[in-house]
Amino acid sequence: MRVAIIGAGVIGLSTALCIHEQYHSLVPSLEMEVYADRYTPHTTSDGAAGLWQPYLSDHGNLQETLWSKETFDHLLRHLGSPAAKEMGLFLISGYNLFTQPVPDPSWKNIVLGFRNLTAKELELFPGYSYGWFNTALMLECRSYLPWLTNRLTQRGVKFFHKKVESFQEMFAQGVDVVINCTGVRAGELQPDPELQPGRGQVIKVLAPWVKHFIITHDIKSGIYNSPYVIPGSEFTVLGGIYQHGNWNEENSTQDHKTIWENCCRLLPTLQKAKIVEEWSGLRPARPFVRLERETLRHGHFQAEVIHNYGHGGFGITIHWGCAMAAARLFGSILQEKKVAGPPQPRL
Amino acid sequence: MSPGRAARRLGSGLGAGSGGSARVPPGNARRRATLRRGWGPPPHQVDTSLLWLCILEMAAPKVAVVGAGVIGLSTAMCILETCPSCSVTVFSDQFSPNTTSDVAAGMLIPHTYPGTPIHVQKQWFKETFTYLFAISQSAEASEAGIHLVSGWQVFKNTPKEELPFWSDVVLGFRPMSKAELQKFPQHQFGQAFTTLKCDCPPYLLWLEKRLKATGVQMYTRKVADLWELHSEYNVVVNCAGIGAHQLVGDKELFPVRGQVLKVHAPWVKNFIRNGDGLTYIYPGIHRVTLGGTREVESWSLSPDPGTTKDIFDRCCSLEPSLRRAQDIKVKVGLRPSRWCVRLEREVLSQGGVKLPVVHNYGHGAGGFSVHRGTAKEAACLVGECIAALQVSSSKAKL
Repeated sequence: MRVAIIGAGVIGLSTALCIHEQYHSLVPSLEMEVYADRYTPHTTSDGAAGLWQPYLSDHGNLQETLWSKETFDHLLRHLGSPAAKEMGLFLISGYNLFTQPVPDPSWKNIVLGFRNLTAKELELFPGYSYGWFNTALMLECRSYLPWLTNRLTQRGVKFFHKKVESFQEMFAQGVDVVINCTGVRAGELQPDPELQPGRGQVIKVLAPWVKHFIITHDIKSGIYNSPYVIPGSEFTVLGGIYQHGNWNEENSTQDHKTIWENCCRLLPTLQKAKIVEEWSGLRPARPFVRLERETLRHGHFQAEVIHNYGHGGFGITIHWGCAMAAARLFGSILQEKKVAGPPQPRL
Repeated sequence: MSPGRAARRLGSGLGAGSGGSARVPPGNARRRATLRRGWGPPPHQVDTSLLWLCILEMAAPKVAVVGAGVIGLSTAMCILETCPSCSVTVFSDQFSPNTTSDVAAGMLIPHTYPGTPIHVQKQWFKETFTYLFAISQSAEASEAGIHLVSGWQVFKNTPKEELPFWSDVVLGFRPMSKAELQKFPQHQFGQAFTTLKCDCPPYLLWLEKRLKATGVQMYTRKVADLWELHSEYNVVVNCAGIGAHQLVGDKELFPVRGQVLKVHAPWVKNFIRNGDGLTYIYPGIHRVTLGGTREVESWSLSPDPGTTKDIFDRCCSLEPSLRRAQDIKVKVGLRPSRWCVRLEREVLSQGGVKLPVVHNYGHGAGGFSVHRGTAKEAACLVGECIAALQVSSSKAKL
C-alpha cells in the first residue's frame, strides 16, 4: 500500500510519523513517501516562533481545543526525555496582556499554572490593565522538523523534492492514499474559498536576557495584529502582523517599522537587541481546520484523500491532535479496504 | 582636616548635644547614643537633609571603599548619590570577573539572617528589588545584566513556613498547582514566582562604568590594614566580604564554600530551586548556573570534580534536559557568612588618632538580594561619620 503525504511542514511530517508509527506493523506492504516543494528551513512552520498557544476563543470548535490539548499533553510527556533538546522542546512562562478584562481562554486548564496578573505585574506593562500568566511549551520547528525527518528516514520513508500539481498525478503513479497537508496552497490542488493567507512578518533578534513570552491583544485589530515577543533557544521573535488575504511573501518596510516600534514600546530593553533576520510567511487561515476524508472517483478507480490543512496561526499548537485524528481516518480507510476485498483496479 | 581636631569630638556622633550645633534637632541626641550592632533604624528615618548641610561645609570629604564586589561597588554608588560632593575611591585586590559576586548567580531570593530582625531584612530586600526592577524595565537592562525570571521552588516535604517573609515583594507568588508539581515527582509542595536576576560580570561592570563616569578612582591593591588609608581618607568603608576575616579579624565571619557550574543551555528559561537551597538551576543571560554546595568553614577555592558530578546529577534530576548542556565551567566562591550582616559605624583608635569606619560585610548567601538596601544604609552611616567629623572640626574652630 502506497501512501503519499503532500507537504513537509509540521502538519505533513507529524502526520506521516503518526500514521507510520501506528500502522507499519499492521500493514507490511506500507510504503510511505513525502512530496513537497519546500522543506525545512523554508516551510511556513519554520518561520513560526513555536509557542504553544491556541487563539483566545475556539469559536465553538471544541474539537480543535481537544486536539490542542492532546498536543500539549503529548509534548509535556516528552519534556523529560533525552530527545527534548533535539526536538526543540522546552517549557516557557509568560504573559498575555489586554486593555480590558476578558473571559478566561478555553485552554486555561491545559497550560500550567494559569492565573490572572497581579497589579504589580501589570506595572511592567503600561497601557495594559488586565492579563494572564502561565507556563506553556515551545516547539521550535527549525529543530522539530529535522527531528521528525530523521525519525521518518530511519523508518524508511522516502522524500521527494517536487511540486505536486494534482491528486490525479499521485494516483496515476499508483498511490493508494494521499494525505493533503499543503497548508496555505491547498487551493492549488482543490479550490477552497474558505482558505486564505493570514500574512505575518517577524523580526528575529538576539535578546537572551528576555526569558518570558509576552503576547498583547487588541480585540479591535484581531489576533496577532498586536505586538508579541517570544524568546527562543537562540533568537527572540518579535511580531504582530496578521493580514488576511495578503499573499505577499516579501518583507515589508512598513511592517518592520510597526513591529519594531510596537515591541520596543512594549519592552524597552529590546532597543539594545541586535536584529539578525526578517521573515514573512502565510498562515493557512480557515474558519476551522479541514480534517476529513474524501473519496475521489475517476471512472473505475477510487482513491482516498485525507485532508489536513487550514491550521492558521496555531499549527504547532494543534499538530499532534490532528495527526492522530488523520491516523484514525487512515485506519478507517484500511478497515474499508479489508471489508471491500482486494484492491480496486487502477487506471 | 587633621585627625587631631576630630579626635577631641570622638564619639559625639550626630547632634553632639553641644551648644554649637544649632542645626541639630534635640531628638537626635537619643539616636546618637545607640551603638549600632549589625543593624540600625531604616535609612529614611535619618535626617539626610541635615547631613547634607553638614557635609557641604566640609570640602570634598574623601571616602575610601575597600572591596569591589557587589557590596563595595553598590555602596560606593550610594555614597555618591547621598553625598555628590564626596570623593570616593575603591580599593580591592580583586575586581570583576574575579570577585565572589562573579561566582554567584545573583538571584533575588533572600537568605534569612538569624541575627537581623525580619522587618529590616524585608526592607533591605524591598529596596533592592524596587531598584533593580526599574533598571530591568529600562533600555539599560541588558548592559546592567538585570532581567526578570520566573520559576519554581520545590520541596520534598511541605515546609513549616509556607509563606516566606519576602513572598509579597517578588511577583506573582503562589503555591504550585498539582499539574505543575507533576514535573517534580519526588516533591510534595512548591511555590511559583517571578523575581529578578543580576548577572555578573555585567552588573559589576555596569556599576564600575557608572562610578568611573563620576570620577571614582579604582585601584587594584590589597589593603592589609584599614589604617593604611587613614592619612588620605576621612572615612573608610569596609566592604571586604570574606576578606574581613583577615582585614579586621572578625572571628564571627566564616566562609561557606559554594561550588557552581555555569553551563550553556539556552533552552532553560525558568529557574528551579530546591527549598533546601542546595540544588538550583538559575538561567542567566548567556549561561545557566547550576548549584551547589554549602560547606561551612571550608576555605578552598579549588573546584572539586566529585562535587561537580554531584551537582550536575542533582540538577539533571530536577531538569533532565540539562544532560545536553554544553561547555561546563566550574567556579567556587566563599560566601562571607555571619549570624547577621555587620552594618555599623566604628571609630578606630590608634595612638590618639581616630579613623571612622563603616562596616558593610557578612552578607553570606544573600548579598545580591539585599545589596542595595544595605548599601543605602551604609551610605547614611558614612554621611553620619562625615557630619560628625564636620561638627568636631567646626567645634575645634570655635
